[in-house]
Amino acid sequence: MAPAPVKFWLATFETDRPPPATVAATAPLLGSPFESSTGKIVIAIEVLNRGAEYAVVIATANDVEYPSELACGLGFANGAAACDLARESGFPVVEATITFRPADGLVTVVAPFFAAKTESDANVIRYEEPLLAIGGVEFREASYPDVPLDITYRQTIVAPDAARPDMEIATLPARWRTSRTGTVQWRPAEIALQVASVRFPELMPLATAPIAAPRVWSGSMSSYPELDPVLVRQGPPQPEPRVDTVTSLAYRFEDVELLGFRIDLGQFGGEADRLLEKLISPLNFHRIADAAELTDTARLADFRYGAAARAIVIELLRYGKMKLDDPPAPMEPGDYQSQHELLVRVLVGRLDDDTAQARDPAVFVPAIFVDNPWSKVVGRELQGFDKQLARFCVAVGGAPQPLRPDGCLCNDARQGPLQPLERISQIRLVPRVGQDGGALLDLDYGSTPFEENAFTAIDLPLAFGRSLLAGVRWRQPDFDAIAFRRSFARPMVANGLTSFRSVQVTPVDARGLEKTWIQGTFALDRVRLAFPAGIATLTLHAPPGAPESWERLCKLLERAGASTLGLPTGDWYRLKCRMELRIDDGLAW
Amino acid sequence: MSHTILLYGATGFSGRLIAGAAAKRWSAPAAACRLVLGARESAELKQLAHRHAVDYRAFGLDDRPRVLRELRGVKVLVNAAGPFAWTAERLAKAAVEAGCHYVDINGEVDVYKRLDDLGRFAAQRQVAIVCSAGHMSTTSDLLLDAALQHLGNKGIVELGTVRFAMSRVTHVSRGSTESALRSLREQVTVVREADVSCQGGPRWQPVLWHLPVGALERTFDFGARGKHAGAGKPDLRIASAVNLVDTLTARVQAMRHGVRVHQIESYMETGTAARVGYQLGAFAAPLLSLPWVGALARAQIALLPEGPTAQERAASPHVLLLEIEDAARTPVIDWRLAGPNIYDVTAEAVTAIAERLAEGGFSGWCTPAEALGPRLTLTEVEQGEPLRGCRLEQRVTVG
Repeated sequence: MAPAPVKFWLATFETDRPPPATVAATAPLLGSPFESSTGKIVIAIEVLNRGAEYAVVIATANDVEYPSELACGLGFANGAAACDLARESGFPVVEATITFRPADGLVTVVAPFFAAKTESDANVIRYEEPLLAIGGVEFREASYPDVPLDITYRQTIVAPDAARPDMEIATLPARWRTSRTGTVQWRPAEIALQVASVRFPELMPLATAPIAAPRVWSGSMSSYPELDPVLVRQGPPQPEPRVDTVTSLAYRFEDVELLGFRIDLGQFGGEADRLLEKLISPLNFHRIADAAELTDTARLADFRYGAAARAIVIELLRYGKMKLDDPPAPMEPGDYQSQHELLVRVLVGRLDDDTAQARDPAVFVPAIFVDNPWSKVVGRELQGFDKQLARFCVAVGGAPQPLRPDGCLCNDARQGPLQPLERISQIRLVPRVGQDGGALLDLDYGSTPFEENAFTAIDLPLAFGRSLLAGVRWRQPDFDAIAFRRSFARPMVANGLTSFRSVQVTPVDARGLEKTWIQGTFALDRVRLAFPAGIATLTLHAPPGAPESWERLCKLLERAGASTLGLPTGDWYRLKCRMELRIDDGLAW
Repeated sequence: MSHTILLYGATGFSGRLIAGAAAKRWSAPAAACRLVLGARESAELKQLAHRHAVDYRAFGLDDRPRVLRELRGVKVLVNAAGPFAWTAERLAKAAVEAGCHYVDINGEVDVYKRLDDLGRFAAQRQVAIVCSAGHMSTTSDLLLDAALQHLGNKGIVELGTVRFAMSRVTHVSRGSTESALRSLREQVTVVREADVSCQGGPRWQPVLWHLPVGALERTFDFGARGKHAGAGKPDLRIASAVNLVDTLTARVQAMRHGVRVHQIESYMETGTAARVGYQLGAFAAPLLSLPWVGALARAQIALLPEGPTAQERAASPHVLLLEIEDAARTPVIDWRLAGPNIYDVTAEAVTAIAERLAEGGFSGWCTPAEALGPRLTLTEVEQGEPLRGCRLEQRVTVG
């Protein structure tokens, strides 16, 4: 069945280009590639709609009357898959709640933002307040003859630079177009625009004011977000310094709470090995049998990654405060956002073809779910974490009630009461913002007491020193393969909780830039640990649209009749800590 | 405009030879390249630069921003500063970051393997890394490239064994001795074809393999010498498999030619005393990890002369053999190359490669033959740099 047509509404208007002194490096619209001799800048706002899916594209244009080229500076979409596809094509699109009121044509975008310094609680990101509202949006369609409108998007595909992912990005210019039909044009007197007072994401020069004398088009597009490439520049991608708002890739996480569950796959024998091999297969992209598209250098790499232990760890985390270590203006050191996270950790090691001992132990995350759209963007674009959006729910009156990323119930007051992490009873997939995609994981701790005083402040050298016999995440018996025993296993058993290396692959999709490994270090301090006395019951589900790695894990457990896992005391743990993440500079000495 | 070539480690034995060859090559005002000398210590460097009438830059490798500053405007960085385990990775990374090509004369397998991870970074930055551009890896690579091209033209795309063998080196430099001592601690690296499909890789892949020192010995006909020279008699002499980067370079070359090779090995002629010393040395090598043993060994090496004199070099030419068997173990290539001393060839090879890189068009991990002109015919190899003056004898050439 052919997909439903995509309706579009496009408005262009001229506005003053802010003088250079006020141009923030982080204002995406001000980096317009279109020159103007009049000191004006042409802004294009495009609203796209297919069924329940909406997208708002904010771009600059080459001409106000006859736009033929648009450069999207920032966009919002409520479809998770559409968002991922758009980013893959170089459109910087973020998930948002988008509502459309046909009566007055009001499109409202709700996406997390940092308010201007003049606002109260400006350091805390706002999750549920409107960022942008556009009035007078009207989807029309002309019967023959229609107005010709042929627009090409000038985008830049970006990914972390292979050598210096902490400081540079690789860029690849790309052109995209879509055919438009049934286009009508009209000139309303004005369009109402409301923009929240924000620092991030910076929408300058958009401001709350009626837009006078806009040009408006509406009709149908053949496709979105899958567009037809017009021309992708031939030649290698170029490394450039990061100039976006995530200049620094050093993060500090405060008020981190964690519930970890060790799942021993030893009982599944060879099936577990095959599952682990599949889970970590993204790391071995350079060893794929059909390596025709790889460069000589990648093909010649004489190593592979292997799963080191027959145990995986599922962790549920709450990051109370996620801060950039060295935030660029207009961000400030005190700015923070929050999120919940569900992830699967697999311990991997590098196996050189000519050695019998693995090296470089690191943790690979094949599946990860978050509830903060900005975290999803940063994770996918800059850190190689293939994040998916999910809802983290607590049971209220027997029904799952989603939490905000900051741990309060949705629709609570801005600083509402914090729900304890252990109250989260269900994690549900979000295929579209506001839509429920089904349960991924059910959690039940029975009558386990979760006293605050059960936490023990850890003397790190004593607790995780060489003498430690029973590890928290990984234990000595998990290391079956000879290559991963002894000097490989020892530090991971002893220190695998408090400091561990991370390895991911970026870009997470096929965006025309060469894949590369991105490595970093997580360091924990102020660690407080507890082993709750009780049984934790985990039930894993694979709803439609769940990532492949999660689905594989669920299928393995299902085949073994172990979709519901009961973990006794000692196989699950609670942790509170502070955490730092530093991405490696591949050229550091 | 001429390209700036920075030679780091110019005050060492090989560095001086390269500096001499490069200064001579680029002495004309309109030369394609301009030589700048670099080293850690400035006094000796200044004298050397004055002698060759070139600029110099004295800097150590402890301060990354300083090194990057010194590499500004440099087109090719040539690293002749051993031990390469201490210098190669830093200078190669700095070169990639600064956007200049990197060439070195490293002969240590572990260093080669560390550097080849940087190849993908270099490819992305549009710069080239040529590791082990000295003799004999350059010579063996050129010969193998020409041989594989010839065999490819004859439709032979699966080979049994590729063997290199080098005649005895009578006079070695202090740096070469140190490299040899370091390699004693490792087993001998060879290439064996293996099925890596179980690891998600292709069905057959040439993988690195290790054999104990002394486990692999063969006799090779290096050609008669002394009073028997020219008599046409075979002179079979024993050679031991050794840990040479040539084996690794050959693996890259074979993969790039799309040729299946079952085995690749590198040998060096060893007399009775040398064989005993080599095997005993490998047996005792773990002791070298003891600080005082290591210090004692280094102190002994420090007593050696820095390197052979011009007369000694002139009196000790080298012979390199390339033997290739097809999958049925039938010899298809048996070539013998006789040429000047290895250190003189090194100087010529490095300057030629640096100049080629400066001309542009290279990126990523390049073997020396690739940099000198990939897919040269045998005639071009014989007549071109750096093998001009060498004598090639084709004892067996299939077809």
